[in-house]
Amino acid sequence: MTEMLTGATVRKWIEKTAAVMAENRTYLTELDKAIGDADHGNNMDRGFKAVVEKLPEGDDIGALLKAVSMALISKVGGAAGPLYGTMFLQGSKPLMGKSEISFEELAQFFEDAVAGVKMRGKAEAGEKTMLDALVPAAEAFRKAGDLDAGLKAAVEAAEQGMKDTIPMIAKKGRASYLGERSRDHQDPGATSSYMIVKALEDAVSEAA
Amino acid sequence: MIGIVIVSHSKQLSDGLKELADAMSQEPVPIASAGGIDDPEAPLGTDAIRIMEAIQEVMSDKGVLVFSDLGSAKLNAEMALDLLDDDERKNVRLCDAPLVEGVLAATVQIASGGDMDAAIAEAREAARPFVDGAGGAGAASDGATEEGAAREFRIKTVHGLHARPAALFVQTVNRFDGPVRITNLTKKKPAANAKSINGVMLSEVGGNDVIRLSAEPAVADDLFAAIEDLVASNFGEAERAPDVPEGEPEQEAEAAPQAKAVTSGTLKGAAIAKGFAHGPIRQIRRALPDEVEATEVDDRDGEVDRFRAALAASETELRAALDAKGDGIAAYDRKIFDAHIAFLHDPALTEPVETGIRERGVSAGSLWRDAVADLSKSYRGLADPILKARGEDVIDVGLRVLRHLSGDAGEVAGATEAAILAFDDLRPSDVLTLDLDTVLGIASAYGGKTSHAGILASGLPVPVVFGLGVDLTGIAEGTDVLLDGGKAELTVAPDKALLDEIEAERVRLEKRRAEAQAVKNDPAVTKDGVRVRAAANLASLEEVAAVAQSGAEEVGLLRTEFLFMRREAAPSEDEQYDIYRQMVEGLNGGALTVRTVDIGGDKPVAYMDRPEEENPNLGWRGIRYSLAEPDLFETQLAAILRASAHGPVRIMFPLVSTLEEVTAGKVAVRKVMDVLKERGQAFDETIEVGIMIEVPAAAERASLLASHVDFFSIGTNDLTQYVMASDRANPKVQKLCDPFDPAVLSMIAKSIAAAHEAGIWIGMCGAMAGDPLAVPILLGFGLDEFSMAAADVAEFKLTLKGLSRADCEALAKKALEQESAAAVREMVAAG
Repeated sequence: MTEMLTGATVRKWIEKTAAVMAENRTYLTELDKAIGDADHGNNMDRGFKAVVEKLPEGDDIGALLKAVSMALISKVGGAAGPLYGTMFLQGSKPLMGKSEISFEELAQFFEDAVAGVKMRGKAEAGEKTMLDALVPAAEAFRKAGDLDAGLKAAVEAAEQGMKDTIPMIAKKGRASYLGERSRDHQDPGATSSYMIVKALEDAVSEAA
Repeated sequence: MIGIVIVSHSKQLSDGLKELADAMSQEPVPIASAGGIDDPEAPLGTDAIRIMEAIQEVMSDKGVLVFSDLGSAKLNAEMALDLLDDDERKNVRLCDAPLVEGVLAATVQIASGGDMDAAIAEAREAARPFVDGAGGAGAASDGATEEGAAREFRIKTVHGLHARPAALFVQTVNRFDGPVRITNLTKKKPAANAKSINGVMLSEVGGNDVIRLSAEPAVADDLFAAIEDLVASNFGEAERAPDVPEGEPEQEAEAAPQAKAVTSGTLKGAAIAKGFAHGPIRQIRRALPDEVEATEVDDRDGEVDRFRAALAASETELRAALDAKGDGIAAYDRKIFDAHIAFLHDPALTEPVETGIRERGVSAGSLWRDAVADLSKSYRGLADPILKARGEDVIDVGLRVLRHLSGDAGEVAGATEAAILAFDDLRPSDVLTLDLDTVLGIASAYGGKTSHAGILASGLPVPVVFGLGVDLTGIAEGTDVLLDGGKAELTVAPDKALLDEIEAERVRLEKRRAEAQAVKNDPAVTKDGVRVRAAANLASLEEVAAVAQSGAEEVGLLRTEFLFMRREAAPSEDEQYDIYRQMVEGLNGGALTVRTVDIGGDKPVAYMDRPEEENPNLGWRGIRYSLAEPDLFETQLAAILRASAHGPVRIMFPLVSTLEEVTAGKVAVRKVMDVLKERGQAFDETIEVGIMIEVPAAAERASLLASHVDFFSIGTNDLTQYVMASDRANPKVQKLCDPFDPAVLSMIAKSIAAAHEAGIWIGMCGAMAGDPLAVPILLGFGLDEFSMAAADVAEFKLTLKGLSRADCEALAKKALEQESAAAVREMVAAG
């Protein structure tokens, strides 16, 4: 049973995410090729590589997450940069100076992160975007009531949300230009969002 | 002064736009370029931090205006705003306007002392440059009245009021209060706002044009004096437009050239599709009419409904035509029609019509014609050939809607009697809707290869010639004409001698073809029993059946470029695999030699993000490009290898110059083989890997290269142009580009000898391999495989039957000793 999420685990989460993005670079780009401009995998991989390089010493969780945000903003290039950048930036603000965070604080992090993405992308869930994975994940996490169960529920919700994007018609971003033709493709943004949530669960369960 | 920040995915674009904007204004406007991201591997993108710094760089208490290009650039610009302090942020505005036009318009406005709102308004107006006269940029809504003081000026700058002179003009006018209007009298343009750069640009003031300026009496004298000074100094430009002689009427700017009656002679045009056609001409008018009669309508709402119904009917028709073509239309071509459908929804076209009906009660047809004419003219006036071609699309759509408005529902190009169709201007949709059963050939007065209609028509099975000139329309209906698609000529009333000549040639060719057809399935053997391999070149899936029936034993060259061109993203491994597999399965056991993609700088591929090259033929193409793009290369290799599980397949690398390239290519093959093994996918482990010999360096080092590959194939087109250092597309030097030149022949002989010494086989897949005159020489050198157009294979076998290797060896030796290509040809022709 994990009570608190430590700075070391957050660092591990970030490194794990970078590894997952590198591993799935081609897969994400393939997904993006179908409905976007075929750069999502490359962008995420490049962004998280830069993240790992620029990660500061220490276990200030807010500072770690802010560093993630800044690296993504300046390295990703496509829309995922400002969107994930905002997500981590908004989420990091209340966590500045904290070396461990509680279930409540992580729930708040998810909600702030989701709010940041909604604000930046002017989007809501159901539009075939990252939010389709992130919104249910944040809700499921809060509902579960503790860290371990919450992360498990969040991963399941994010995965379901990611799959739910397949029949959706895109309303935002380049995929929306395709209209009806954006159907039957899984959204690459929702997929990378799921991977990020999954990486957190993995990092936590390994630390336990 | 207000600062401007340019945000673009491309650093070149934002830097270039800054350069252009800097040159537009007399007063330096602070402009910062924030383009690209700091990653040399993938430089396209935007960086919020860089944008924030750019904003700070040009920040003053007057504020900053930020322009951005596509989607995520806007997101990052917003992000940058969030990163600023509250104090800084309140003076920054994001401007939603077309990037280039918006920045230029705002720069001029700011340099003229405009405030933030004026600059934004001006930039946004640039978004609707086509609605002049209907409430858009520079329209009469500025409140100026015709009663104000007015004066006329003749503009003497060479290009009239464009770029710098236009900016100077607008800045000068903006020094004066009240509305000022400009009317281009020479081109009979509607009055426009002279304080707006868009208004002035849209007035299209050319050198020698006369403009009328009108302004409020209070400022008129000073304003006119200031403009007088500008005109006297010729806007600071040295060169002046040539004078128009006194008394001579000025040329009407848009006067259409008149066709004269044509009863004989030959018109020359641009070759689009080859072949001969002889028959009566049928004239088809597809130009936009000069005028559609305007009537007054009582039921204005009803007329708007009628207009909308015509738009809807046009859309239905286009969609039906596309559906009927199904998969038989390339995605790229489909896009042309998607653009047509988009035009039907474009407010720049529809709004002036609806406004005109509602406010003035004018009938839709006349308003629509004018809107279409204006928009197409704007496109046709552009220098970029791609944009220019859109003018043609606008008219195409325009005519379709006009047809529905006039109640005439039939398609245009159906003919009952076989004829050569002569279009005054051929539209893309005409090509799509042609009934080929009754079309002998197609001639068009206008258009070229890069026009959309040209691209579409190049695939037609009948001769097509474009750009024959306006005289084409002067040929009387039913006149007997001869259309030669290869020479791009149309001969009016061809005389008997010419027809006889062509007929005799046709008969001779047909007879030889019949003889050849009789032997096409025989083995490719000389009369003294030497066996070679007859192969065909292949460039698309559709040709496989023709190759299989041609008598070819194998495919000596599959050009894979078709898979990569005219589409939006590179084909996936599965897509390529599927096509290679279908090909090899369609060849009845014959081998398929797949050349990895050779896309050069001369063949633009949108998604490949290639730099423009000064010498594309000497540039980044062939194996050079593939090795630099491992994803693309390995994807293709994987697809080829997987196809090798279904029949004999070979891999061939194009444009090899060095051993290093061969080694790197083979390493990539091995790497992909490992991946396939890991995935558990089948492939032929003994697959042959060879190279093209088309670079002189490779021919020179053939002995070295031969010990590292399984085969060679000589590409004569490129080899010839590189050996002779002459561009075959350049008419001034193309005569040098002759593969019979002994210098080229010597390279070929050397490569063949080197291959045989190393114990590998060698083929040829250039145009020369199928040339009956070249076959004896190549046979004499010892060439093993001849790969040519499928249609030439039967004839090749016939030629071969008449040759003996021993004779040819002597002939080939003699050919190398000749002085010139001409001497070689003479010698071979003499036998």
